[in-house]
Amino acid sequence: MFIKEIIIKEIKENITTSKFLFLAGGVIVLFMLNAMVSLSDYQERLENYQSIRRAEQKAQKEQCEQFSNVVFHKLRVVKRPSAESFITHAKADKLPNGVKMDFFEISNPQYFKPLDIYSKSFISLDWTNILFYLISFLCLSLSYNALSGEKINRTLQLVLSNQVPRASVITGKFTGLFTLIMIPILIGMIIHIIIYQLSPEIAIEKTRPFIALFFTGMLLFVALNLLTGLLISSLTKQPMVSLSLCLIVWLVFAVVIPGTGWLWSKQMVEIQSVHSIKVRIARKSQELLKMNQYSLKSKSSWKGKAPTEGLLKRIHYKQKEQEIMNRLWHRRIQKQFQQTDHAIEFAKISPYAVFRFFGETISDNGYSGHKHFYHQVQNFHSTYKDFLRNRDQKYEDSYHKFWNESWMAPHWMSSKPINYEALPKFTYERPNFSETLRKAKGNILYLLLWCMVLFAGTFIAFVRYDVR
Amino acid sequence: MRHFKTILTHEFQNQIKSFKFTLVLAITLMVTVFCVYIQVQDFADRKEQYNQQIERKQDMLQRARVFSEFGIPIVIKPNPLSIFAKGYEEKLGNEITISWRNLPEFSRFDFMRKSKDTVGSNEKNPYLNIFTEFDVTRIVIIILSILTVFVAAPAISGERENKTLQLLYTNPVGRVEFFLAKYLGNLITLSIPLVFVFVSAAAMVALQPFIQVEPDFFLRVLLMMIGCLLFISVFTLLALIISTATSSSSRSLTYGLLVWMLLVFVYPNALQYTVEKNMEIPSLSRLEKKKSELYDAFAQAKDKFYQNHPLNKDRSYTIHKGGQFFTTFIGVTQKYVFKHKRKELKALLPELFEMQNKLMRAVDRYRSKLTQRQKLVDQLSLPLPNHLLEQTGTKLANTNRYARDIDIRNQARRFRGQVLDYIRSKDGFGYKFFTQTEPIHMTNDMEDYPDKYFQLSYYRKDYPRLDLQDRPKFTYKEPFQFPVEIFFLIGLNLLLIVLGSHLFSGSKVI
Repeated sequence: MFIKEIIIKEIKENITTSKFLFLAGGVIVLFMLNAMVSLSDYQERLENYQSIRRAEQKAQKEQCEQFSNVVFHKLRVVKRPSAESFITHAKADKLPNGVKMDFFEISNPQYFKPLDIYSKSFISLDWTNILFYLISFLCLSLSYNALSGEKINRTLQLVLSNQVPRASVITGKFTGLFTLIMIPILIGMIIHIIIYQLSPEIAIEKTRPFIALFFTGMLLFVALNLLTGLLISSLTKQPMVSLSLCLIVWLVFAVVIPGTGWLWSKQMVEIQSVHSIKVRIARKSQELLKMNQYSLKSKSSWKGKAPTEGLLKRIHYKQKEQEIMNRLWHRRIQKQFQQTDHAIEFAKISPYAVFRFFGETISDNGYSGHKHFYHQVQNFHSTYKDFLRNRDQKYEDSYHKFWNESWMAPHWMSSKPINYEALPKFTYERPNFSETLRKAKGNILYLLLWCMVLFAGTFIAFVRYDVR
Repeated sequence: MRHFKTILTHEFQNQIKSFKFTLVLAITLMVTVFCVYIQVQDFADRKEQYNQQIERKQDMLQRARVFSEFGIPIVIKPNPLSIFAKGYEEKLGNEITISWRNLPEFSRFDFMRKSKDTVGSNEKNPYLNIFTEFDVTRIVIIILSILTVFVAAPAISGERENKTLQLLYTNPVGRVEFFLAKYLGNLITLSIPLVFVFVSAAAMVALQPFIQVEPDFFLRVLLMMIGCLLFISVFTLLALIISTATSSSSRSLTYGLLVWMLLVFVYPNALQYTVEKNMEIPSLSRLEKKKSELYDAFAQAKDKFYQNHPLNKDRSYTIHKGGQFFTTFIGVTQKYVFKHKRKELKALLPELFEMQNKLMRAVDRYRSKLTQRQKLVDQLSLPLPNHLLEQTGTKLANTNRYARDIDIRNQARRFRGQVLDYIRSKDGFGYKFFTQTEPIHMTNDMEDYPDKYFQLSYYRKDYPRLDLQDRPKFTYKEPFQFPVEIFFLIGLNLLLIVLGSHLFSGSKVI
């Protein structure tokens, strides 16, 4: 009842305001700019990725002349840039994008891209940021006086003196504003998709399900902002007070909490320094050495012959030492992940941060993408090792011993060539739709919960409002 | 100006008694205490890492047995003022190794170093780069500025809305007088949370037992606070100008917030983004290529030397040609080999230094190109009050690029000269580069050495260490850079005062 009228009134009242026109125009222009910039940016990053891949393939092929060379070859493994980075860039430029690996170890994550250490951190242009800063601001600036404005003008008294149910007022106002705000967003998104559709480099059909998923979260995010404004508006009598409160809520939830999560996590998760890890490795290595006393006589004649007892002891020692090194360095990276995860969990107190990381999960970019990549690299490393081990079993000139001393160990490995095509190749697989949905489900539910709580809060506050 | 004091007092009292002032004060204090507390904890971690680095440095110095092993790492102490303005404090590294082999550069640009920086070798968790740094200046730039708009935007429009402005003009009050009194009243009100921010932050920093503040710490903090006050003053004036031009307080607040968003978020980010997307980062590959060329040239010079001065393998028991630069033997060798190595060092050391100079020049050229982007962004941000405040803060905290990068490297370069002179004065490029056995005690045959010489061989830990007590000591002299940006901020304030007064004089009462 009356809902339709309230919706139309709300749209008509706001659509011609300079505030709406200015911000809506800005949103559309930013969406268009984002489409153009992210396209060229993606092409550039793809070229960089492909050139590294080509160089790596060439380098690996050259090593294939001898099996032992492949074992010691430092393979560069790089993450393919995300085609959905227009959803969120997620500061991917500031994060490592690859690793080096050989049979024995995976290096710490590295930057295989030009890195500008002098550049300042900035908010990049992408869908998430447009919504995060501009749309949230637009939502709050339209909704803050939706009820308190009517209270002060006494028009609310007039409306309620007719037999308009309060639920209809709230629903009507919310739907009206929601529809209004969706206009520039939809126009912007459609223009973006058309620009992408026209580009031959992007397979937009693969991206569509992710866009749809992001759209769901975006609807909730817009609703959440509007409901925040409406709740504050229904709790206050003066538009000035409701605007001030909206401002403070925005400041705390959009700026302070998402920006300070890392400060907490640094206190919660301690990461061992590089020096202390090195000291620990050295100490463990000494202990191992004591347990595996050996002596080697450095004569050229013993190289390549059946390993002596002393050499076997050394190999055993070196393999154990490598295991310790791998374990400790791996643990350090896990701690870094843990620290970052804690920071994200803290930031997620704010639904704004939830939306931001939701965008990151969908675009498979930034930290979320990197973590996924690193896990794939670990799996690939096991496959790579198993393959080389199996292949080594087939070589008759090999003593089937692997240890990380490039100046010595190849003498006991096969010097025969290996077929490059047979070597396992790393191809980064971004999480498919169902996997992404599984990851993003929690964020969607969390946003939904916020919306429901805010709607219930707004409804109760408005029902309790004494119109006299 | 008869009513100036009355209006000012009235405005100040009104604001200070208002609920929004309490809210502003509470929010600012809460955010400051929270952020500074955690930054202080973070500082404690950095200090701990620094102490470990110092231990390592001592260990490295004590381990040197010959001058080829001699190197002094310069470790830059964490700066407590970085809690106020972080700048480049943690971005560029804090260790430079000074030796005959290394370039006096942070490890990222020390192209004489074998292993390059990886994430693992950096103490900072790289994944935390996805979050924003929150220092005191940033709190002022983002939070206090928005709260300034929140307090000052309705100051004139509110009076217009309540019709008190009309009432006021029935008295003989000058418009400029009114505007200035309003401005000062608001500024004094807003300076209270600002003073709270700085006093609480300075106290939290200075009272920590693990932080030793320099004597000029409080002076620098005071200057930073003055910079912040000027910054807040700019936003107060902007809010008042908007308030002058609007008829309702909520409208002036909305426009004020739009201007805030434009100045604090949109313009700086759009500028950085546009410049970064349009100016490519210079590729490191050219620098890497230059390095390989220089290394190859050195290898050729070395080959040429060995062709002209072949090493008789039958007479060289302990030494062979290998090694990238100079192979050292530390323990004992035949007199013949020693003479040969000394000749090699004498011939090739100037070549090595020449190569290092060329490499340093190439690095400088690369760095100059790399910094072009940020320089352009800084130039285009010059009229922005937040940029001016950032510059003021980082200059005073010595965390800007000049102090944290250029000046340290210059000091390191000068210190390297002293270290090389010291090595020369100790005959460190003579026999002590290789061994501690004096040439007169060297024999032509290894078998002629007494047994005690072999007991002190390379792998023995008891080989005597060099006495380096009189080595040159590096003391990092922090520069004092007066922030000229303060004058820009003053200029901006004056301009806005004139503009605001003019606009207000011509504005409607109703």
